[in-house]
Amino acid sequence: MKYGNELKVGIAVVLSIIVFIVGVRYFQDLPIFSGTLELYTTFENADGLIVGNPVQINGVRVGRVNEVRLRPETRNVLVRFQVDRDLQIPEGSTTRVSGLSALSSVSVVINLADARRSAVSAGDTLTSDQTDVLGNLVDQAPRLVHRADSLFGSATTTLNTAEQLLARPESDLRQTLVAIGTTARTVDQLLRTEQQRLASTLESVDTLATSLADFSTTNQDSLSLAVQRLNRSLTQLERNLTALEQTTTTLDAILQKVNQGEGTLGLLVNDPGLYHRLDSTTTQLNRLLVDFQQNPKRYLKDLKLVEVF
Amino acid sequence: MIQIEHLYKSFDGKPVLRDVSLEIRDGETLAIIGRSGSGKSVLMKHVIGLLTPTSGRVQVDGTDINEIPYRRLREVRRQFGVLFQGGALFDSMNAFENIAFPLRTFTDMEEAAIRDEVYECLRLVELPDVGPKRTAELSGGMQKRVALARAIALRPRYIIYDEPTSGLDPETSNAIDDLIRALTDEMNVTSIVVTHDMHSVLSIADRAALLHRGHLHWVGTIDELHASDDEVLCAFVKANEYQIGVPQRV
Amino acid sequence: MASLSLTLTKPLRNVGLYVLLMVKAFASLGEFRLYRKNLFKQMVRVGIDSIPIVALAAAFSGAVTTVQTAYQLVSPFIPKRIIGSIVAPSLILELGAVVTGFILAGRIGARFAAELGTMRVTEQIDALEAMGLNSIGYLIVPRVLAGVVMFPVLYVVACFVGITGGIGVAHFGGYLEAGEFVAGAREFFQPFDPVFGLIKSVVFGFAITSISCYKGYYTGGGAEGVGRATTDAAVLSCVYILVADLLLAIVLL
Ligand SMILES: Nc1ncnc2c1ncn2[C@@H]1O[C@H](COP(=O)(O)OP(=O)(O)OP(=O)(O)O)[C@@H](O)[C@H]1O
Ligand SMILES: [Mg+2]
Repeated sequence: MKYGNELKVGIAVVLSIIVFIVGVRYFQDLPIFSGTLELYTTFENADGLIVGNPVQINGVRVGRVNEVRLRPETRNVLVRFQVDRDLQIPEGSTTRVSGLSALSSVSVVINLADARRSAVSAGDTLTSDQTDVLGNLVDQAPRLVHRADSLFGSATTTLNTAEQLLARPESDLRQTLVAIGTTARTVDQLLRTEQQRLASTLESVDTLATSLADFSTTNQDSLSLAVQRLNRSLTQLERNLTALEQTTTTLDAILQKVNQGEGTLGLLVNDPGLYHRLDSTTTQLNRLLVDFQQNPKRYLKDLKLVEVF
Repeated sequence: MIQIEHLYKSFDGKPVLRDVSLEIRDGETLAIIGRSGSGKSVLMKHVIGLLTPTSGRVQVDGTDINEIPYRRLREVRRQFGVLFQGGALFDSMNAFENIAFPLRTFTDMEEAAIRDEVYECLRLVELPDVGPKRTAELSGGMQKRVALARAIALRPRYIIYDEPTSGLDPETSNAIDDLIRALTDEMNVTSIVVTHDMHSVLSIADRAALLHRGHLHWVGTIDELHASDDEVLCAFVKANEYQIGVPQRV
Repeated sequence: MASLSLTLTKPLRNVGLYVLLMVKAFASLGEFRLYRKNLFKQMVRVGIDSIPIVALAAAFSGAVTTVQTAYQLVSPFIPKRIIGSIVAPSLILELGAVVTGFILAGRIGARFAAELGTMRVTEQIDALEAMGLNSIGYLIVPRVLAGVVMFPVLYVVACFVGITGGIGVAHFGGYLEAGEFVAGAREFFQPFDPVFGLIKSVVFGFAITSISCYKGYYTGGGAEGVGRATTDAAVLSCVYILVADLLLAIVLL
């Protein structure tokens, strides 16, 4: 009891030192009792990586970034980071920066190499396998444009075939095919307008991507908005292209049938709901065409009726 | 031996002591008398360096206490026992601890020995059983006596009493006077007694010094005091006589 | 004329007196034997006895900061864990030390000034000195040391309880999950932050205790003087906490 005060103070001081150290390690996301391993990597572009950012493997946090230093002499960024000591990182593992600093935390992602290779030791440098996040996004645009281009090419080919077909005077189903010609022109027109829309969409994607790339990473709100809009545009473009692809495929099928000398197509192509009903109609059409080849007279009578209608 | 030479002291330009020169010889008991506010307490604080003179010197055993480093000054002070006018008991301690404090701080005495010493001191001031009482639980007179016990606990060479008997009943006053005289006689203590109680002066002092408006007006032995026809001194003594009757040298 | 120059030089003289007192206190640091017993007594009073009130204040600070941050962050673009990223550093950098500082200014600053002031006006300080004791070493050193040592302890308590309070209210108030809070706190955690907080708490501990000891030690004018010293100590401590807070932020951040 004589040293009661000393004891109280001692306990308080020791406890607070423990809480402090454990607390700091806890918030540093360090294992509280085991050690860490310090490694290096270099990036051409650190993408807003800062001290304290997580280091992840397969999306699991395993360490943190300790230092991000620009090295003007080599024009790259040296990143010092630590990972849990128990972790066996095989030699040849690569790193990359992941995430968009404007939106969320950037992290260093380690892609583990073959586990049979010996583990790296403290102070080693991992090579980076860098893919630019923003670049990725911007890269998508040209790819889509290219895809759209080839799509339009194939559509044009299809229509050309149709035209050639229609030009043949000896065709049995001349009348029907005249109707197809009209339809094809409509499709062509449709594609043209669609092409314009796509072009403008792609243009806006391009602008957005450029402005995004130019943007400093500070203005988080507007940047996140921009990226969201870009994403929406890309999604919409994708949808457009998918629809277009479907249309073209269907058209191909029709023209193929037409090529084989089948003439009820006029019925179908005049239908304004073509785009949506084509699939089921095609099945019907197949059955119809088989029957038509067997009893053409019966169907020609029907066809007249339809034309009057 | 304490020598006060041409001591001037003023607070914020207001003079309190003016050219006070006084010598206190070893083994004697000097009474400093004077009316309230005449500067007695201020003078006494200069002797232990609690106040620094505006000019002049205070020497204890030949060393000017205002010239020496603080460490040395403290050593000089350790030869003194001081009873302050208000007692100045540490209110964070009880009576026992107050008296034990200098013993614990400055000696290597065993706790048992300290106990004995404290109770001896308490017996001397006629308060054998106030030990466990806190300062606030003691009456003014009791506080003063506990403070006196504390002042003498270390058996100092010099003792300064600032009004040791004021506020005490005549019987206790006499007991305190006896105690002061006994300490002086037995241990060859040099004492400075600040008081305006002529009864005390006549019973314990060898010499008396009268402070009047900051000046040292009169110094002399008790016999000279009786014979003196100094106006201020006579007025002071007369006032006392009127109060307590004709004082007699015991 | 004389009084004018007196009013002009008074603040400077006070600063000088304060600095001199601290120099004397530092010079007495070596006399450990003199203040050892007092030191631990003061440490218990400054540190241990203040833990409940500091913890209470810190818990509320953490909880309130969390709720208000949650209230302000309504944008769907900002992930909820950012609340943790804001609350934890606020506590570690600022609130932990400043809230503790204000509590100690009231609790300890006033108390020290009143204690020493009373000792001064009742001549207890003179009595200590007259015994040949170094009153500064005996009275002021243990108090200031207790502040410097125990304030960081209280700071750690405040941060711990404050963050726990924040997490608690986040979880039970349905604002965000504890895990999210911690993830957010970790994301922007700088190891220097708690070190800065510790430095702050040492400075605050010194400021509060030294100012209030200075005010108490040089009290004059009886009970009224003690009262004045007490309020002065509490108010000045708070003011200098804010001043020191700003200065440290400018110098160290
Ligand atoms: N610290 C101080 N600051 C300013 N003035 C002071 C101080 N101490 C004493 N004085 C003044 O000095 C004068 C003498 O005071 P002192 O206490 O020595 O009187 P005294 O002779 O002891 O009176 P009493 O018998 O009532 O104790 C008083 O007028 C007082 O106002
Ligand atoms: Mg007096």
